[in-house]
Amino acid sequence: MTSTTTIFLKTAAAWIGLAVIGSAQTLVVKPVCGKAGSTVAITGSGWAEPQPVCYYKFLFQGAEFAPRQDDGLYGPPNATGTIPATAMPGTGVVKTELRLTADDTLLQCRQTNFKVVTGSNDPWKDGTGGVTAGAGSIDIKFDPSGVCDVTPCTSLVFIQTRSVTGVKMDNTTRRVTYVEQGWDHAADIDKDFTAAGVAIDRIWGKAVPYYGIPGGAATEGFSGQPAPNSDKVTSMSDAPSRPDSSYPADIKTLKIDFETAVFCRSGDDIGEYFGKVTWHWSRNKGAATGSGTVTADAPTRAAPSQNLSDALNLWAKNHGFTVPKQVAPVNSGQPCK
Amino acid sequence: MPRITSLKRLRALVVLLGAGSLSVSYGQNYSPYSDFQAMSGSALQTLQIMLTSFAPQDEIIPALAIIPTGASVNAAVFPPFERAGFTYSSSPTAIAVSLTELQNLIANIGTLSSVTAGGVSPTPKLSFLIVNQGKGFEVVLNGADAATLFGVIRSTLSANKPALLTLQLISCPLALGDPGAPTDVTAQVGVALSGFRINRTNNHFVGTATLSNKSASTLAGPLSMVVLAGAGLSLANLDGNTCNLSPFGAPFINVPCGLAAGASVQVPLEFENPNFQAVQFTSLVLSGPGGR
Repeated sequence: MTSTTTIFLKTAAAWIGLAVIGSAQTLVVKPVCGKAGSTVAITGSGWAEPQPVCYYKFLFQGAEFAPRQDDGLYGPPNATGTIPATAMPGTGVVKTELRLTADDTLLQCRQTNFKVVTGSNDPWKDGTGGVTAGAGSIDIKFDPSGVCDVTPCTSLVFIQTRSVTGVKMDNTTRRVTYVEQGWDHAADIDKDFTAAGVAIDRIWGKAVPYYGIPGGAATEGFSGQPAPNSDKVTSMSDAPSRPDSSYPADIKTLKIDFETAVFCRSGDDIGEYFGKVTWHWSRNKGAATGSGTVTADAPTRAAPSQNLSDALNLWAKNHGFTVPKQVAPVNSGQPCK
Repeated sequence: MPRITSLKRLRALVVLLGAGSLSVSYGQNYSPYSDFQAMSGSALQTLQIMLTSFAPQDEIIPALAIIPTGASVNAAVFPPFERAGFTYSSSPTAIAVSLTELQNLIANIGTLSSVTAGGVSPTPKLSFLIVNQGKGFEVVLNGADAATLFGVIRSTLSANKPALLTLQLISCPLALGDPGAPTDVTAQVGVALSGFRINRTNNHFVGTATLSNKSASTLAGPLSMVVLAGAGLSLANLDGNTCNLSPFGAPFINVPCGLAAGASVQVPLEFENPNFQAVQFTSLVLSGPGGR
């Protein structure tokens, strides 16, 4: 299981934006659980920056587990720590100390818990998660059960983008608009495309950008809820299609690149992404069927691309939607004991 | 409850090459539409109508199944009457209608020769498939005929709000709404909100908006108030979502009649408000017939 080792979806910069000058400091460790040997992101906000030179010290169960970080120009804590390979399963304590460089005087300290587990599921592969690309269609399932860092969220959904490219007769390519493809509402649909040619994939007329909700092509999941129904797989299907009439005269092949990201739209993890999969549809003009072929890349726990974020923001602007944002972290630590 | 559309048995959409006149094919033993017009009473209990988009799609456009209230969708009855080369869904979204509504629907649709003729348009956009007691009838319509069909369905089911809302799953993306466009009369209408209270049975926030015609002219009906609420507040008693007017997808509630100069009308409002935040929103007011 590798999910806890590489997922740093919340950047220090994001939390800096939430900091309130003069407020008490916070400490955020992500993920909040993982196997021995896994890495964690340590961030925070509201830490005082005294004039004397000082530094941050990061401890797991009393032992340093991340490189020291100079303060001063560097602002709040922003480090990556590695949970010792010898750490025993159970709840451990992560501490962040701000100390004077000159004499090591402790100025401030905050701590939070990190749970060492023997295993954490891969939401794309274990349980009922996975990606299945078939003839002209794809099924995507994200299973949050037993995954350390996907909790708690009361509504896990997919946000999907599309980008349409046409292959010309001379094998060069160009973007193809929906006006050219002759779709209903095409002029308005084209307004949802960013300068990079990417747009949120939604049936026209929906109030939210979440794929298939409402609409029937997806089911929303959740995680970290009270037993016995604590987790639910979020799933979706897609089957793009184009008839020959959608092809401009100079285009022999239509290709659509999709990016599908897992997003928490409500709950403690609101505004967070938990992984993504990119996949591709292609159809030659004159093919026997309109459904084309679908291939998928391996799903990852990586953050979505900037193109997806830009497309989501544009969609929200055009459709009067407010994108859920991350709120002040629940896991913001407490004064050291 | 959202549900996933199974793709297991979806078949490929064949591009119909070459233009031609509407062709009628009973190779799959289709029955004439009149057979279904002759059905009544208990025979209608098992009747099902499936509406399927054949338009190009990125996100899947759901299929809809019109069924009698109390019945469940029995998707197994459709495949014998599905045409080879087209893509159908095995899990359409249900629209429940009363037997009277169903009978009226069959009768009213029966006045559309574009439907009763059956066959497949050379520019296929929508399948209308009706199945009962081992009999099946299908017509694959072009956009114009599909819009006419949807107009008949909407007028027949005008008292069935859930049905009208569900029909929008297809009618909006396929542009099968009412023709024409209403007038934005927001500047001529005053909107005053009452206090809102919690309905403890569903935790919805309920109140009223009073629309007042500030102009010297009568505002033509129907009126629609488009509610533009922020995050965390959603209109629960909506009549639809905007499809042709920006912001697209915004919920609206209808007032069937017009509003004389100086007159007022109260509009009941019901919000889902899980965070118990203050009920605040901006609104647009639309006047006259036409797709919202």
